[in-house]
Amino acid sequence: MSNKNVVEVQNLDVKFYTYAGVVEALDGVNLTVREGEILGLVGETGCGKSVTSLSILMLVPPPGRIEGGTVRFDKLGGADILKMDDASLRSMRGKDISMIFQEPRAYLNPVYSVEDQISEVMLVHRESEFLNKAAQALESKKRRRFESRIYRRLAKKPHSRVERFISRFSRKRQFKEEVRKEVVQVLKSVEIPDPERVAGMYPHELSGGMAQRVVIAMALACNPMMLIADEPTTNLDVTVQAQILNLVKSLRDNFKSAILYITHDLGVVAQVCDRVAVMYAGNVVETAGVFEIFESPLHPYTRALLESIPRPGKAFKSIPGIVPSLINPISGCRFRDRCSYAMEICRKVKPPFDEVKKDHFVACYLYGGS
Amino acid sequence: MVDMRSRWEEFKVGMKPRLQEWGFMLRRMKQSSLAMVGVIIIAVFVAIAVLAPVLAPPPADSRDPFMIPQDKSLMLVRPVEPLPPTTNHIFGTIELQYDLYYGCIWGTITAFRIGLIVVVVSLIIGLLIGTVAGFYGGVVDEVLMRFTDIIIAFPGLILAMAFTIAFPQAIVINLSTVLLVVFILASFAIIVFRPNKKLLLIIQLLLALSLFSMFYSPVLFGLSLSKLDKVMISIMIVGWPGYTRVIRGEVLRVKNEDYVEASRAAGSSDAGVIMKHIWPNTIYPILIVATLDIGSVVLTAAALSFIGIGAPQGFADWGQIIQSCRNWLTTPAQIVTYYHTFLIPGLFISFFVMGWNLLGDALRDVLDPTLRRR
Amino acid sequence: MTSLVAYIVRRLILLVFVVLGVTVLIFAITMMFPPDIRAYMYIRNVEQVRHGVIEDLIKKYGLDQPLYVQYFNWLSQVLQGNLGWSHAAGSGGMPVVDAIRTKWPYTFEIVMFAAPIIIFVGIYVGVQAAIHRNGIIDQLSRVTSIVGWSLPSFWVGMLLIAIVGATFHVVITGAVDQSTINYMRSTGFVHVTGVDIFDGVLNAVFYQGRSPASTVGNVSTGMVISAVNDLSVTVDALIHVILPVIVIVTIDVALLIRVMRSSMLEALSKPYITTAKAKGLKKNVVIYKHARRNALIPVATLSGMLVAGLLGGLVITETVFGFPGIGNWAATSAVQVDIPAVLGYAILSAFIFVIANLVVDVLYAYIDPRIRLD
Repeated sequence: MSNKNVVEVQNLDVKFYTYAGVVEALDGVNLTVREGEILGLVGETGCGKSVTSLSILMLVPPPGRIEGGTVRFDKLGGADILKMDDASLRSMRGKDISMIFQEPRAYLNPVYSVEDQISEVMLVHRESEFLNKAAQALESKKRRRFESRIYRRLAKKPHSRVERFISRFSRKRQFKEEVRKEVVQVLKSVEIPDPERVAGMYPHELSGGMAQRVVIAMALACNPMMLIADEPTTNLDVTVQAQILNLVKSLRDNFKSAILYITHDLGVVAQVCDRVAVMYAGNVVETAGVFEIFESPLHPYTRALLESIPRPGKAFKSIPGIVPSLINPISGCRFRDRCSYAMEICRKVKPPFDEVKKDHFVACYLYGGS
Repeated sequence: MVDMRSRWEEFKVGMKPRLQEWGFMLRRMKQSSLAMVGVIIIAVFVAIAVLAPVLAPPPADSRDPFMIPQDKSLMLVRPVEPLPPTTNHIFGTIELQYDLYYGCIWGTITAFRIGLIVVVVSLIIGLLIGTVAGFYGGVVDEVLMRFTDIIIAFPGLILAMAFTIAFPQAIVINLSTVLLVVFILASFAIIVFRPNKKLLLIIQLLLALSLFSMFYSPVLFGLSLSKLDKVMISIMIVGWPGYTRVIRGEVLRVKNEDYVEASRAAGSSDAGVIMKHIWPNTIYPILIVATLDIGSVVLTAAALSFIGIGAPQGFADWGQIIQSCRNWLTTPAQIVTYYHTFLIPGLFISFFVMGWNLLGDALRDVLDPTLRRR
Repeated sequence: MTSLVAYIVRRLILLVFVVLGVTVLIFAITMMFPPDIRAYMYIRNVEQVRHGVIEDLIKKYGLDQPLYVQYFNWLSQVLQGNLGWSHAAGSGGMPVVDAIRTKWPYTFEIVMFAAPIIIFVGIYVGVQAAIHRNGIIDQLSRVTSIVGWSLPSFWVGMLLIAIVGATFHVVITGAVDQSTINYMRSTGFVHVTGVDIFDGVLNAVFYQGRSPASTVGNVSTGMVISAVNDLSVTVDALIHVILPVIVIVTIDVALLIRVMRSSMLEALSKPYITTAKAKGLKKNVVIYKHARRNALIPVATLSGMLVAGLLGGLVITETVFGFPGIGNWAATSAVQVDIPAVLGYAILSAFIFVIANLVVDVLYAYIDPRIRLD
């Protein structure tokens, strides 16, 4: 229970400068993802789940801009990702924190094979490892001395011009073989049948579930500490979804990865998450353990959300009103116009995100905080 | 009366989002300075074309305002040589003492005429063929597309040249030829429109008539074509495949959209679906192609005139003017002396085409889906 | 890989069909002319011309017989390599195949410089314009593209001749200077490839010790090179090629830049670019390895068609510069109503088009793995 925090998002502010105006997409988001834990990020379409996840990796596309807050990453001694320089960011992406997305075949480059794309991420972050492995393999069999010497040389950076030239034009057979073996291994680890054949396939030849596994394999290729999954099963049919969810769970169990799982499906949340963060209109309104959230939801929005799940025999209940516009957003709590418990103060000041029970955070004046 | 008014109201309501869309596009166009330059250039040329009789009044005894007047007095002195600008002739004269200013002004009308007519006709032909091919798919698509490919494979310029040469000055049209064309169009119409009983009967009658007449061809009538007309026809024949490909691609894209299926499910005929749903959503790229094509058509026509096929000597056409002075530009000294003969008409052509290209380019940017409203 | 082969075979069949279609179309056009003119399509050599064997030919090839018979006769002749006899002034009376054989290398001489420049400059500038959208390169390339595309090619050619003429006091037209032509004729210059640039070097290396140069009939109009030897032939040819290449490049690079730019912009907005960034790849790798490769797909098709069009003859440019390529030959043949020549050109053009299509298709299938399944 005392898992350490891998990533801490505090007071994240993201604005989008569009033709229609300034969209305040995220307004002080607070989030913590812990080691060996799956944190579910739930909310309606447009509430800012994806933007939050992209911000962690500084991948927010223009016209979006991260305007405030911090994202602390444990591995780098709590350094703020938002202030990192380009090189450190790149070294972190794919290696320490990986991300997978919604429609896998759209997120894979159609002109490169599976093997090409997976080996690409491995070569960015683990090249020396493979060079040394290849050198070792050759040295142990006392073959192709020249080749193994090249590998040893290349493994030690920085490279001189001559070394780079040789590297480009040498065949590097053993090296490629090592990389290939690892690719197949990674594919096996995500339970892809016949991984050697799949490695040579192209994205359009894969089914949805297969493609998503490939994407997961690609994300795991460098053993990241944290995985961000942005609605990975939304477009897949239920049986495939179940398999993927099991896969995700086994990651948590076997590797103690921290996983941020974004979804709008409460059923998935119930199946897979350990903790849940509920988002509404650019704010995290409630965070708690999964059982806690389902048994005693505190925030009116969470309550309304759970009540609106259709159940046979029960009357269908929806939340009246619509999500407020994020351009010139309303003051105070953004849920106030749809909340049955709205108070005077809710209109004026935004409620703070406080821990009102053990490990249960809410942003609502019903639970104090004035 | 009431019924009409309510239909008009309905129409207005239906058009509102589309008008909003156009308003948005117009606003974006105004933001682009290049687009505005293009529009201004075109506006200037339109003004020139409209005001031609005022700007360059045709002499009292001319039968055809498009034939450039020759300065008889100058011809007595120097019958052939082009003369540089003077007060009488603002741009100077070209070979055989045709007034360059007059030629350029009236040439504007010729350019508009060529551009607009050729593009509109090519567009219509290409639109029809492309829509039918894209919408019905299968064998129809294959056949039409192969036919289109053949036209594309044909060297355009040479085809235009061959047609212009081969076509006689006056076509003697056989009644049966006309009816053959009617037959083809009617078959087309049947495929596309799946008309109701009455229309079907009329078309069947026309078919029978044409088939019957193909064995008897008693009636002939003549149609005379000027050289420029022939050039226009040949460019049309070569030009329509461009539109076909574009519209076919768009139709294929839109064909499987949900609203088309919904419309079909609601019972619309093929023609109805095409006209109400498919065409409004596929028309924009065509407009871009058409705008750019106007410039390109004028360039082609000028090129053909330059080679020697095209408007006859003395006709107010920019390309023709340049062609007539080719002989006078063979040495450096000559080029410097007679620069006005090719520089000025060339500038007219360039700016005209540039205006349309700027407009077309701006349209292309405005209609770029990745830019819309985001 | 067999799917690739099957794909190629399928495309080949389709293209053969297109070529046949083109020949039918061409043939149909020629049918508009009377039989004695058409007889020239079947003449093989000088002898037949001199002895006036036209009546025999009319009988032999059934020029007064029904259409399909004539077509098959003609087609069989073509397949045997007899494209007829060209009587036009420009080609001075020779079999059409000879005309093509001697003239096409000159067109190639221009295209071999123009095409790579257009393609590489177009791709580079297009990519840069897309990466730095609305930056300096983007705006500048946009303006120059539009301007370049709007200029009539003959006008640019004339302008360049004029500028060079005024500055250097030489008129550079044709493939080589008159002095070089005299040199080649008097020393028995061997036209190995037909491309003067190569032949100069080849002659210098392999064909030394031919008869010495004589100054028979030497009329030079502005010599650039005074001392003439084998290598100077190459240099002279290079100098003469510069201006036509500039004209072609100026006009066509615009299109390529535009297409590359929009294709690249589209590729950069695709989801897999986000994945690439999320993998920690450097920006350049993302742009060039991931986006550009996808963006090049439509550009490859366009480039192929462009090069095919260029290789098929640059009618206007060659005419302006008096360059003895097939474009020039086609233009003069058309004006002089030299049917076999025009026909021969059309067939050549269609042939080049077909081959280019095939190359593009194969390239396409190689770059884009999605196509191979089709």
